[in-house]
Amino acid sequence: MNTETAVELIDVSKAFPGVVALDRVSLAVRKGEVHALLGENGAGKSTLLKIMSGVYSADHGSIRLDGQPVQPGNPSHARQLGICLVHQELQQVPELTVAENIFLAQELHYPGRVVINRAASYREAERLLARIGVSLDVRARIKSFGIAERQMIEIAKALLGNAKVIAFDEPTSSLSTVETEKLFQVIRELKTKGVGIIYVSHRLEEISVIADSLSILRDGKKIISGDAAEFDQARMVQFMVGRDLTALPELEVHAADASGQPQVRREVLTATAIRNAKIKDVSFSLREGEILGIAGLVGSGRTELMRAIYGADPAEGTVTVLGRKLTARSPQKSIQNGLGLIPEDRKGQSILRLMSVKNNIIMASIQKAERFGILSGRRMTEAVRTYFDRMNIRPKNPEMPIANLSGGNQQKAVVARSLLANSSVLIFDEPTRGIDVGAKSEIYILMRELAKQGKSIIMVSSELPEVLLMSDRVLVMREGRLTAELSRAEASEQTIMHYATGGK
Amino acid sequence: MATKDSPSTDAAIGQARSARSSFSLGMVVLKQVKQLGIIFALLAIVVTFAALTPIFLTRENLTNIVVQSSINGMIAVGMTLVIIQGGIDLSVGSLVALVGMVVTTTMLHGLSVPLAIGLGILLGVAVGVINGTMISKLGLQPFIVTLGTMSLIRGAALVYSHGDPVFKVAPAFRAIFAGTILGLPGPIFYLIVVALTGIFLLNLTRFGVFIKAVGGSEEAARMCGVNILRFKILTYTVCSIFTALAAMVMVGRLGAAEPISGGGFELDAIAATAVGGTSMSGGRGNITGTIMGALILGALRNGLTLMNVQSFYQVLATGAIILIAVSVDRFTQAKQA
Repeated sequence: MNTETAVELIDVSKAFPGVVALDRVSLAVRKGEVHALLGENGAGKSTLLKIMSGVYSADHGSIRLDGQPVQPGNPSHARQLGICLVHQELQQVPELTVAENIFLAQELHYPGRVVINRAASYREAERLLARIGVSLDVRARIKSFGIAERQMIEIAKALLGNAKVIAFDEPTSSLSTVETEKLFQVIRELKTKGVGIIYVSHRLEEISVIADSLSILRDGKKIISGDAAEFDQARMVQFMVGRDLTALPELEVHAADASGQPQVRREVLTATAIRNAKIKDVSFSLREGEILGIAGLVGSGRTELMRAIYGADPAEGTVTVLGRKLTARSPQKSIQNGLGLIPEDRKGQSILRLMSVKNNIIMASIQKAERFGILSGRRMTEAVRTYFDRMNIRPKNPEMPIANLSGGNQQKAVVARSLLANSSVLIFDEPTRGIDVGAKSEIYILMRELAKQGKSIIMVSSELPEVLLMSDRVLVMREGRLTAELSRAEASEQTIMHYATGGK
Repeated sequence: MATKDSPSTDAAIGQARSARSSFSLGMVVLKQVKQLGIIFALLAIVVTFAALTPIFLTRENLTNIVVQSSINGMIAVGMTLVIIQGGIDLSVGSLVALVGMVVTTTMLHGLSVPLAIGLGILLGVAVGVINGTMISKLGLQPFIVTLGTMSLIRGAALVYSHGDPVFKVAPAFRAIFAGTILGLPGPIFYLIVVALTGIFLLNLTRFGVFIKAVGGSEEAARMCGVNILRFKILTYTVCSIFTALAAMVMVGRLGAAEPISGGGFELDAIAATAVGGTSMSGGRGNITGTIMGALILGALRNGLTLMNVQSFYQVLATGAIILIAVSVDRFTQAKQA
């Protein structure tokens, strides 16, 4: 391995009003190595990446690139210097084509630098995408692609130019196993070219696969750096949270399995012959107190199926909840009938980002705070208060803007919204996406608790370990169809992947 | 599960929480300063004109300013609701003319005063429902829809009146809108009624919460079960009703109605809303700010007129005030983020 340093941060500090986001953090990334950056949400990882890529400027400290001090003033300056960031929140213009997005602000022109050379941009865009093994229509608009494909496009954009350092912020959070492996191949290829890679992920199992070295941040301070080989997952978690927490394996098994036989319980939701442009004739049912996992590759129609059932997208077919058939489905009707959805896209479809936590929780059942048509602030607070304890929403301040909460706490507030609306059937679409380790296990425990209390849960997830851990039963989807129904005993990474990728 | 409540984590979270809450306290203070800022701006204008011309700070003139600002203020309250909800209504100015013409003409033809008032309000409801339905049901851009209805309504007013103004307004009608009510000049009374209604709707009803929710994140609001269609139509309807009321106050005050009146009123209302600190991209805003905004613009015009400044310069000054206000607003927003 190359021992030259690609990028080095020395004593970098950054404070925001009331919060020290980074406190004298130093770390070095060698050329051709993958350096993982770990820490819970709010530990300072994102701030660090943003300082490197010129979004923020550091209050104190310096950055050295190839041994030379640099001060990236803004993202495009950082890009020119050779520092690229693949964002967690995709920074793309939905109305522009793939090629236009990739070459945004660095368009390819015909000689004379006035007229854009479309043919060349399409060709180059295709070539960049081919380098990460992706082939898609570079003439299509970004908005026609799903999150996984958009991420690939974002990565292709980062490959553009001669990047010396590429920072990946949660690149795999919405990628399937196959796509993740594809990404790792790309990263390995970048390594051989001497690019220094900073890799931020909450999926610890990936770290031992892809990372050469790592640094762990906590509360804005660097806790430890070292070779990735020296850390197993338990040790990583220990440094991240500052306590010993072996989250996943020790979750208790579901009651149904403890007794060794599934209990026959009533069906609380049946979906019959659901179909629209993305869904092809899907039928299934959900039993009381059950956690039903929906697995499949990204793009297999899982989210679309859930949206169709919930009434967010139009679809044919019938949905029955608690014995009542939902006619003319809409989110409003679903909520009234006890069906709640916790959407995949938290920022866009789930939280009301300008509003307080209180308003976010009460949104679906605001009539509870009304008296003669007048809202009472006291009633609103009373209605939501118990949920702060019950769901462990931190900080315990109902008036705080929800945008200031961590992803995990936002998610808990959204779940609280459905519970307050008396939903007895809950659909979780990617419940732990972009959520840190500690909050993740809290969400798992919460889902288990809810199931035990008789709530019935459908869980869509791209993370196979999550599907296997949580589900009493697993449905596998492929290209808009159900391809398998697996009992807990039958479900394994192998069987699920088999049916998800086209096995019969 | 057992480790969930370990003391060390609680301490860490406690620290984070105190850091966060001081942050939010800062934001609350900033918000207050922002609110105070607009009061200071109004005071600054009052003090400046008071120093420059002795008549400005008389009781008569101050009353005059509020009366002159009342029409704009009433329309601006409706406009604020529409803008917070993520839309815009350009048709208000034309609606002022149409309501004025229809109400005065029908009274001339013998319609009783209460029925004429009812007709005026009904006209507002109809226009609001048309605007709101086209925007929500057909998914059209509010700017384009209301640009269209702006022209359509103006045309209707002109066709209906053959372009002729009406100079005869029933005294009873004038008394209701321009007479003294509860010791206040009619226009001020109605401004207060409309402002309080707006504040009530925005802050104390489901309607207000939904307006903010839809303006801030429409898709998320829909997923929460908000009936977007209904609330958009309702918002535009409320705006048009306030506008119809403003039109009748204007007719009452002037004792006349003109088919070309109300031109540019939509821009004045948007200006008052913007100066008042409501975000043009929706999701947040407040009625008190809008009323202050209307008063600032009114006081500015009044003061400049008293000083015999040519009206051309008044237009310049109005533009400058709008730009300064939104710049200050932007600055405080950036501080919060």
